[in-house]
Amino acid sequence: MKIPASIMLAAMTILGLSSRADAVTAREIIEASEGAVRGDTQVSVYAITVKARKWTRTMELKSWEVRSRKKSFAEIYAPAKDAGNRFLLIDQNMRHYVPELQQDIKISPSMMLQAWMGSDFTNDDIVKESSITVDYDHELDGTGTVDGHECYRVVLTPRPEAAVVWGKIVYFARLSDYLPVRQEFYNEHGALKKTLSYGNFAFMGGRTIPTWYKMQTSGREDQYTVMEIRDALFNTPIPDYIFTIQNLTRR
Amino acid sequence: MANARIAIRLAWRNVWRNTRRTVLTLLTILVGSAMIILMNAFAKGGHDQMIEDAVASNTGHIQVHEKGYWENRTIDYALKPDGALLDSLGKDARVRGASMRIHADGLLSFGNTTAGAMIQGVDPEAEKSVSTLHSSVLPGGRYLSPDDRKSIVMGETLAKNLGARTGSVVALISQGFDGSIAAEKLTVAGIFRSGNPEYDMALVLMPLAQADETFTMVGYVHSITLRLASPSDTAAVKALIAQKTDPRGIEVMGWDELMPELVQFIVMDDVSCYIFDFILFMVVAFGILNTIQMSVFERTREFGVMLSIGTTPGQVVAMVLVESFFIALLGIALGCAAGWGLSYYFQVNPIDYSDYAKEMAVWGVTTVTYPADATALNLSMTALITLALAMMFSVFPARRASRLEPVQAIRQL
Repeated sequence: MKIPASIMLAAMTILGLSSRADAVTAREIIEASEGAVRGDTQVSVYAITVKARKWTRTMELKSWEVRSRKKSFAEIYAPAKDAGNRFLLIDQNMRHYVPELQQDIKISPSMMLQAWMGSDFTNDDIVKESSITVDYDHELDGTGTVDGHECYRVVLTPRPEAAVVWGKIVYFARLSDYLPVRQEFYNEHGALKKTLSYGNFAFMGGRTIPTWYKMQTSGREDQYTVMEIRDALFNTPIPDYIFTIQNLTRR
Repeated sequence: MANARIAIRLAWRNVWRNTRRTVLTLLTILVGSAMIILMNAFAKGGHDQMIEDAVASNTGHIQVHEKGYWENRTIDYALKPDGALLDSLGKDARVRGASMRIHADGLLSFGNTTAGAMIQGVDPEAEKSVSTLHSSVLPGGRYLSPDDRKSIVMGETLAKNLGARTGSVVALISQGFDGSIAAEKLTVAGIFRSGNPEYDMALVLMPLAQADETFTMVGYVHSITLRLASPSDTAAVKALIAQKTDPRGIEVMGWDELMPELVQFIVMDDVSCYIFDFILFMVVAFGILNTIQMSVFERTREFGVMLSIGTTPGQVVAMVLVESFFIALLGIALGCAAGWGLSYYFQVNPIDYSDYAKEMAVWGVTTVTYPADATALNLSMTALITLALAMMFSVFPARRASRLEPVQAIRQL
């Protein structure tokens, strides 16, 4: 399931701990970086553009998320053909409401791994994202310039007991505020499989965040997925009714 | 010339002088070559049947896709069917049927259960001449008919997993050709049991026209699947299509490329068959060596006399070799007849493993009847190799006979 995954990623992507300027460990960089783009709760409006071989399509969505309770809700607003499709994710259980069928469909976690809307994000990118601090060992590997930003280069290798798909992740975070600039995902043979780039750093929802994300699968340079955050609100209370079947299936 | 004629006449008489010995050698060769022929016939017949079953159930002999489809298997790779090409294929006597198909992965939901499915949009009539799935629909249901729209036929295991029955309305969600969300409510018209675990667990057939609409295909299809009258035409028809299409945009694949795992299985099976062939050939060869050797031992005195009255060692070698040549020829002729006869019996009455179909399906084998098929190649190769081995293994006893010391040999009993 890609769409909800993407939403989640963005959803996870906001609030932050205020950045600290003292010498830091690799782990602190990752924690600060992840924290900087995520909130306890988050309401955001996105545009997701999928560039496939034969078509390019932009969808607009709004999403609500309460991280601590692992609840998220999203609704597609555009294009008209897909408008009204809604997704409710509680823990790892997703329900997808299809207005055409006037019916919601249960989607188990195992089914979310596959490409859903043809985007380059997978559910795994999202779900595992949250464990990037727990499931990996972090090693600071100097600094460098990426896309014009001075960055820390942190190499993440999975802990032996961790059930993760990647063999290695290289994480670039800005020196100044730890905001992520790029993530490179490698398989167990050390081959680069995907690159997630961040851009358009802007002040939104009370903090500076990257508002542009591009996921590029290696070897398919003519295809990519771009997610833009149009608006975001962090740490505002979200009423419980948002995360209910009634809200999902309302006509 | 006269020498040769004498050697041949002597050899012929010798063959029948000790009938029991000759019959024993004959039997070794006969049974050996017949068994080799029968075993190879079973391998050939079984493999052909497996290919035929795999091809007939759904894959077809040839598939035409947009280049890259088979590697990526996504809805993105689709082609606009070329009417002229389809017409010419329809007129080709070698082509039994051609069917355009739309393929998509999707989720099927019934009640609170959701399962992944391989959706295959087919023209119900055209599909009947290409695949046999229409004949595996279980009683109580039916296959798709030409005026069906929102009806589907699904595999038995999938239906069981979903809890759906004939008449159930299931929800399909997937992604369209244009990237939009594809969703449809579909009625289960029938449930099939193909015996192929993959099809039974995931395959869903829906009418081509409906699939075109549901997946926003705007006339594009993912494959043109051909069933040929004879698999041996695969290469020729493939070449013909390749010639009429643009190789940069279109891929034309034969059943062997579409089902490499089946080809690998057959290659592996062939290797074990060759090992058995080798063992059988060795048994036959040493059987011949043994009997010819014994006959030479028994006739030590006779060879001694021949050598003393002026027969040259070369003539003795020639005589013994011609003897085994006669026996081998006779044995091989009878062996071929017996091998072919047995194979023919099993061609008409194939071995039927249907009682073990479930156990075999676990191994991915869906073929349950195994006919034998003795080919001319099988017969001629077996005959040639047996003859060559018989001659090779007669050389040692023949040379032994020719090198006897006449005086000593005469004294032997």
